Amino acid sequence: MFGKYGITARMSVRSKTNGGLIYLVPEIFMRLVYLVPLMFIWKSLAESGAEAEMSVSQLLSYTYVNVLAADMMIVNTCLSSWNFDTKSLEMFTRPMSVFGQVIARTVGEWAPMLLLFSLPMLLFAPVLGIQVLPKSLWAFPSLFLSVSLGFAFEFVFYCVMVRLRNVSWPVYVIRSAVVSFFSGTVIPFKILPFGMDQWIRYQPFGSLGGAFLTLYVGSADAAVVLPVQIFWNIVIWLVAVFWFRRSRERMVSFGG
Amino acid sequence: MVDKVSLKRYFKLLGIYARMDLASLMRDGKFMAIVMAADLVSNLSAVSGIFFLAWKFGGIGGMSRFEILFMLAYGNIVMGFLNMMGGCNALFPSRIIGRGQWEHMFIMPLPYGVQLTVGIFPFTGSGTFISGIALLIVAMCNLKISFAWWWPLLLIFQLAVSMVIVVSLSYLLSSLAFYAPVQCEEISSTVIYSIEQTMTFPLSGMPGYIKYPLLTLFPAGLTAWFPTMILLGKTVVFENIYPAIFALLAAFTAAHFFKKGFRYYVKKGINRYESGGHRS
Repeated sequence: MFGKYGITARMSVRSKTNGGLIYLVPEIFMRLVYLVPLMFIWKSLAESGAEAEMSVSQLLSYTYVNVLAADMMIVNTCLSSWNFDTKSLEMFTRPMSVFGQVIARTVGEWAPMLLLFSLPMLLFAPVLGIQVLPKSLWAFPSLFLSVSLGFAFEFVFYCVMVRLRNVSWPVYVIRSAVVSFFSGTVIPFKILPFGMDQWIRYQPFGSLGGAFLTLYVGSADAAVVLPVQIFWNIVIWLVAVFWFRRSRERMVSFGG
Repeated sequence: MVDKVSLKRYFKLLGIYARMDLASLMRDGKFMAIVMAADLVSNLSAVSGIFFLAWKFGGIGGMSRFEILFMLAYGNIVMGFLNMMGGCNALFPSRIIGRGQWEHMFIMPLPYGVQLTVGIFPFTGSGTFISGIALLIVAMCNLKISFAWWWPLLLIFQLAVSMVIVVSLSYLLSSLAFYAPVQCEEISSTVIYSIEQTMTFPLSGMPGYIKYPLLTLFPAGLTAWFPTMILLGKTVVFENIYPAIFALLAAFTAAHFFKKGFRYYVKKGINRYESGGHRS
């Protein structure tokens, strides 16, 4: 049963690397260019004597692990781009679940970067003095829930695009902007001003990568984080499945 | 292709694109609302992270809250203006080259420079630019600095210099797409998006081995942070001319390598229309 999804994932791995590994260089460059200055901002804040609710070591680990696992922190699939170049129609012609195809394809696309960037960087972290071992093993179920919720959001936003007659780019822009801030992956909720951390962690995007990262670095309690993640997984997946069924026949695609 | 167009014709073309952009925005209310919301949300999100940090800690690396806001606003103006004026992928030339679309430009009765610069999106693409100006005004009102009469001219000059640096880098790296069109189709995106990400970081307080590469090898620091330091009077006189000199050198280097790549391209062609070529 899982064979065809495994083959889809394998094809996806090859599609990322069949032009040569040089294709991965720009992505690696972008991640490093983002990672290095942000880590030095944390150090700079620490040196200025600023008091934060998280230690420098936690902030460095938070940023480092976020960049290493960036694909899983905020899930991006082919759905957002496929609807305007007709490729999404192809998914309905194959004897496989659309949900399964999207998930298998996306997981396959993650593999080259995980192996060729994240793994070496993980091994290199102790040299940089960065703590990369998780503070709590609850971080792993939390990662699964984050990724699962990320896929659910992908289908929800896909339905938004279908309903709004293919205004793919503005929807993509709104989604990226909202998710990047409200997921807490860039700036941890705990160090936001105005007491924002008291409520922001409970909104649905807060159960994406930011929730996992807080458990990973030990700045939150699993008994609080996991129930919220489970709740949003149930709600958003129900919305995604129900709405996708209602929306797919309205799908319109142009181009080629 | 023709060599020259009159200034009148150039502005007429700009007007045609502006009208088309307005028509696309006004075609239905829902679309207009989505575009405006997308602009607003993405701009707020782009500046909120670093600004919240600055607010929480009373500044970052020796820069005050509103100096940080000034820097973020400056970056928004730079990228907002370029995105507004660089529609039709003029800011991303490697896409045009990699997709074989430069060949389409051969048959247009306009010079390349005109074709690349008239495709403006002043209505659907101006959100970042306008929000940048608004944030800059907020920052200036709160900075409590007296600005000299010539300061607005300096601001415009620095903005122009920063824009030249961004465009030069994009064209310099995009010249690789003449040699490897498929592999380098999106190289300009990597350059532009990396600059956009990195320009929001205040480099004050960072060690030299981070700061200087970001002012030379990958000069994202010259597109927001360093000009902010100049405009707020936090640099010494001889440092003030550095971004302009860098922009000049970057522009000449980009022009040289882009022309060299183009000469290679007109001899070898591009593989888009071959069987097995890109997008076949």
